[in-house]
Amino acid sequence: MKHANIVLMVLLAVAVGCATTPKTSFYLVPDPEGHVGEVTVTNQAASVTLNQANQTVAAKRQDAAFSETRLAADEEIQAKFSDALAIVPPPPTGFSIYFATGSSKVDADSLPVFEQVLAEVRKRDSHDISLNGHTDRTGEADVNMKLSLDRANEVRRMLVDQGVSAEYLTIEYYGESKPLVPTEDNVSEPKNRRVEVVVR
Amino acid sequence: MCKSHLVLILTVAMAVSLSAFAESREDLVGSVTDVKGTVQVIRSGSELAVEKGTRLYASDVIRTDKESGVGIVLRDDTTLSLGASSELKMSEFEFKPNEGILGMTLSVAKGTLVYISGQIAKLAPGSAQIETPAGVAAVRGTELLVEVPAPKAEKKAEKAQ
Repeated sequence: MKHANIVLMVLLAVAVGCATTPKTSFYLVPDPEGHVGEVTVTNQAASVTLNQANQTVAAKRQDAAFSETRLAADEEIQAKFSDALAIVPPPPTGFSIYFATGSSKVDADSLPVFEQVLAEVRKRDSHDISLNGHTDRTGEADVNMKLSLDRANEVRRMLVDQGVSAEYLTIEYYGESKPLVPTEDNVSEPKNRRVEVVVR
Repeated sequence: MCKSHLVLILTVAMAVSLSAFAESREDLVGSVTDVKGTVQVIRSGSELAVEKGTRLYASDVIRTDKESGVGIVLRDDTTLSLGASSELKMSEFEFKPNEGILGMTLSVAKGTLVYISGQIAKLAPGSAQIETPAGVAAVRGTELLVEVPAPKAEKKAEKAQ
């Protein structure tokens, strides 16, 4: 046991030693869902692919050879990246709020979703919320363009009424041009009559 | 150029500008979700203080001081964070999935970066790239950590302080 500890300490010392050499290092780690993807690092000397959890490679310059790839200990990763890892943002959350045909009044069924939006905005004290307005293909395209803006404005008004600062809200509107469910013209499609909300 | 041509050009120009139905700037890249310590953005030659909610645009350079850090969410849901004494440039960002235009280049000049893929890396594998002084990382849907040592001159200056 004691010997194992000494070996571990020596390994850590080597790892710390590596950290002080002036090389750019790349570490592939599992993403928040535990999935390990793939990264290819290329410079003038070579190209190296990382595809295992905690696999790392380093090089000094564009024209310098890469180190052998190796698997890094979690301690080494923490030692280098703990401050950056501590401030990783939570992933953005999306919501859809629905409307009746031709109306910019939120469907009663979507009011609980609005409450979820509000809860998420407050939970993360969001300063960046996107409101993207859409319509289905009932009626004229130019009327729908205006309607999609009215819908986004209505959600903005509801959020501002609840104390969310208007300067945190960004509106985009697309009329009938970006349906969630593609349809023929003049087809009523409830899923397309929506404001998509992204809370960051 | 005759007058009618000018009217035509103006009409076309107005139609083109009206087709961008958004209140946000076209080159919006993302926003800052969290700040620790002192963080600046260098934009068109001026240095601005970064706070929670600061919007970031193409070509912005974000710098963190000692014992500082910043969290960033990009428009394609990529999440980023920088540790202390770091510098990152939003070199390129194209996110128009409906038109099939997808691309992102982030340039790390120094410090530490945590990168968690968004939609660009998922929809167009390999088109999300992270440039460093020692090579370019092409990412296919994952989390990547990058450390770039400070340039030698800067290290000496830090020691001298």
